Amino acid sequence: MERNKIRNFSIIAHIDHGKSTLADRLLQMTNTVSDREMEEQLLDNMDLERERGITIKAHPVTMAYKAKDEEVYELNLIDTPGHVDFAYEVSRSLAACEGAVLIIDATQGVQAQTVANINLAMKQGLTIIPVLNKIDLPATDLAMCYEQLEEILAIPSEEALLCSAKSGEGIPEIIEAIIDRIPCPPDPEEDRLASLIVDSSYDSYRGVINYVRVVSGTAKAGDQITMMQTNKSYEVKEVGVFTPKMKALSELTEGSVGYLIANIKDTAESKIGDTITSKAFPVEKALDGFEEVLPMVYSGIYPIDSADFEALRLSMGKLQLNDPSFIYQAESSAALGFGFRCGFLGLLHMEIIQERLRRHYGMDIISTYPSVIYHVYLKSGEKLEVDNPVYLPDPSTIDYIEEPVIKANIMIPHDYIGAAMSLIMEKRGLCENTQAVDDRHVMLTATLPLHEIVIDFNDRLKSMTRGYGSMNYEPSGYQQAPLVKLDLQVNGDPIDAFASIVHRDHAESRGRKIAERLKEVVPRQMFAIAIQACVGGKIVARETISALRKNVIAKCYGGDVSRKRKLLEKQKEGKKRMKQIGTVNIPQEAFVQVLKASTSE
Amino acid sequence: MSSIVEFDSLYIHVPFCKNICDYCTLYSLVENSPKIRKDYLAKIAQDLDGSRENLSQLKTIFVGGGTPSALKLDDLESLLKKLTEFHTQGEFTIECNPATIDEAKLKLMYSYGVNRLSFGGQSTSRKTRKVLGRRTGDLELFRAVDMAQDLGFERINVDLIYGVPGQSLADWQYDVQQVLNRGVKHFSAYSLILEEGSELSKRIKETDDDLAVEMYHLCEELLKEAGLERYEVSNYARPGEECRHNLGIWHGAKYLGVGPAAASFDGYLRWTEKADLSAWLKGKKAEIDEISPKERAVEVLAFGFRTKMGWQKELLHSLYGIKVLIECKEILDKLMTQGLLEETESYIRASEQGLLFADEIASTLIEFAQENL
Repeated sequence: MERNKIRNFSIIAHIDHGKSTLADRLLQMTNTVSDREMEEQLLDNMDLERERGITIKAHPVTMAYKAKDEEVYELNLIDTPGHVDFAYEVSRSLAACEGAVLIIDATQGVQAQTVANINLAMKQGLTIIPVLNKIDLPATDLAMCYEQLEEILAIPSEEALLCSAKSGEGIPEIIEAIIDRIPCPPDPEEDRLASLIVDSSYDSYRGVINYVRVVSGTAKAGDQITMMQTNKSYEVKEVGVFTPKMKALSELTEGSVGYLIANIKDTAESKIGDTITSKAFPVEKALDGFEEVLPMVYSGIYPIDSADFEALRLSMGKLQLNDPSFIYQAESSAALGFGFRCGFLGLLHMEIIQERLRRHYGMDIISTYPSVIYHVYLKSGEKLEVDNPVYLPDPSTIDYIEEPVIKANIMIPHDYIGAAMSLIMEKRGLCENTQAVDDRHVMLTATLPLHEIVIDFNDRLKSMTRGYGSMNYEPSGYQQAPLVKLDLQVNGDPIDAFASIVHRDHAESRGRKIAERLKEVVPRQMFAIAIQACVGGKIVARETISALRKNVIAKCYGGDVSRKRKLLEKQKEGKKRMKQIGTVNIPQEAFVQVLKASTSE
Repeated sequence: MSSIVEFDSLYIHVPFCKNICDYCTLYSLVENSPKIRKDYLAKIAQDLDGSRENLSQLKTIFVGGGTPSALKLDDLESLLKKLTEFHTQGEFTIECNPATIDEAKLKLMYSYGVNRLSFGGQSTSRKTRKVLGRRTGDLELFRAVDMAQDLGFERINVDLIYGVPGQSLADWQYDVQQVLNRGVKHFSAYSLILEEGSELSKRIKETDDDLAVEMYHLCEELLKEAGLERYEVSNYARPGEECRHNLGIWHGAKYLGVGPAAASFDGYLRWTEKADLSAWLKGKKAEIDEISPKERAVEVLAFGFRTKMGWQKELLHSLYGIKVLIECKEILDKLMTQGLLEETESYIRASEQGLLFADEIASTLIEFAQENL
């Protein structure tokens, strides 16, 4: 395809504002996918994505469209994830585009997340096409949206298009606007191959599948290429585009977006943000890449049955091939045996990884309380980085501890200012600025400890504002805080997996809450079980699970002893799915409850 | 299925009920056409004839269900007539539902040598019965028991259920007392179990464990005053009035079960007939539960601890040799340290506390056998 007929764009939207539905309509309208093949939200091809209504992996799709001017254009949609945890993936997707369609739910208006993503897009010089969606709904407030566009995003309101992605109204206008307003890929200064790796996935038969944006030159099967960061060379096996299924092409030309397979067996050799060039005629300067993403949240993942350790290692390896932002390293816990310390972009990312391990890889796992990276300054002058409460040194040797903080932009209808402020205070945050964005919405800027928001801040904000509040955050350095280690003991044995680092003033209430939750979920056993929460050897909370009074089914089986035995065997199986710590059986649920105990109710 | 064995006991499963109780998962049908009943009775007779040579030494016969008393008079007679061919003056029990029994059926049973009746009373309280979805009334139960006694039946059991949601300790005490007032010599108290698949499990949650344990102890006290001793987790009797059929099952006796869903044991192998009347009528094979002889011996050992008397070591040795106890010594010692088992020169049995943990004992032993033997 000629460069001037190519349009590369992405869709920016807040969760549920209709991004996937719009993408589906575009696929239908361009006949990329027939109505028969149409499956709701086609681009979210992981069942998890579909269930949670979010897109996690950026996934490019190529569409052909005959515009009003009778010319056929190639439209490349580079989908973006819509959750706070995945802001990094958004910036990557945007790097492959010249423009972005900004979808705003006309019943809800602009959300904090949208603001952050639009700022990213503008920084990269992208052309923005604002679209007000869901105009078929009665609650639509166009005036509010126009005001917000101008006030918050500095986008002239007359640029906005109206549509209902659901009914299909306004879709052709959007496609025409993509062709008219978004520039074609720029004229390259080079004619040698330079291609940016935007993302990758892994196929067990074909190796790494690179999602690429060709900036200059062409790539075709048989070419010898070099990865500029690793300086390794390969032969290209296949190039093509996603339609959305993979479709091989004879070549990928300048300006286009597609995939490139080169028999690369290790994802580590195919770094996202790296430049692919020709081995024989390499470009001199690599394209601007991306900053390497660093995990912000850490947690231990352990197999329920320690015999599954190797299987878990293999599963994690496979998962990482498709998600390099997930990292893991073997560690061991006194309570849980051998497992892995894992790093995630955020809590949602953590949940998704755990869910995938369970669902796609059939692993029975438990995970420990999530932690962030603390900077621990010792009296000796030494500085430690601690991502696991277990490794927090003896308090007497600690001079002070610093915790990571984030700067959050929180957008809410102004009725909820009071509630949002108290949530921020509860989470040890400091509200620094309040700005009215229109006559009904305000944007709060606050500094919060990262640890306080990883668990449930976003959910709480959502529920207290009836879904209208939204937030976005970015790391904002470290600050000193009076932090202590909260230990949990079961019958006197400390359970390292339940330990957490908390603010001194929260230790007692949190300890009490965890102990209460554990009491509810740990089944009674033949002896009484004491659950104690301690800070530095001092017990701050205690619960007792009384001993089981009976374990017998007093029932007549009409001589069917086989059935009775099988029932008992099934019960035993159930117990095996629990983690035995000392003499106490702890169900998986306990680990979930400890996590939830940090939330207020 | 036939083996070259002499069965000690015979069980007949009658898979018909007037209606299905919500807590029950035993196999039974409400459908009850004359054709089906005839086919059923013919197949029972055929199976009995086929095993005739294994049934010459029977000590007990137990007809259960379902509801044996739900059979029409003539059908009941043809079943009883067949069974008398195998009857050897031992214990001959029939389960009866007070709602479907009448004088004619009782007389018939008596005349054919039935010498023990087991009434499913469930509860005498209207409130508790309502939770259970049981439609029979307490007056029917008392009337049935009185009638049976008048006709000369001396060995009568009544089943009651405790641990029903909403049932208080006082409710239960009243329940037990009402039945004891009838002068029965045998009593079964089953704690309500919500089994997966029963109607009841969809409707209610199990009652609190602590209350169920209090009911268990209260029942024991009340019955003791009336001269009935606990001899198994859920069974009480005046000395000598224990149900020999059920005791035998827990003590390794060989029994043949005839009828759909009926379970059998020949000392080593267990098998269960299809829990499906038409499949059973067509002669579909029973499901065999095969485990290694050592595991089987431990299984028998394990379930014997449900009885208060436990194992007379000699009996166990006569069944499976002297090695069983030796091979399990490690785990038996552990259970003794936990206070669940106790041992004398000639007996090994569950402690008072151990009876309440009979399933714990059994599953510990079974798991030990699976992993070590």
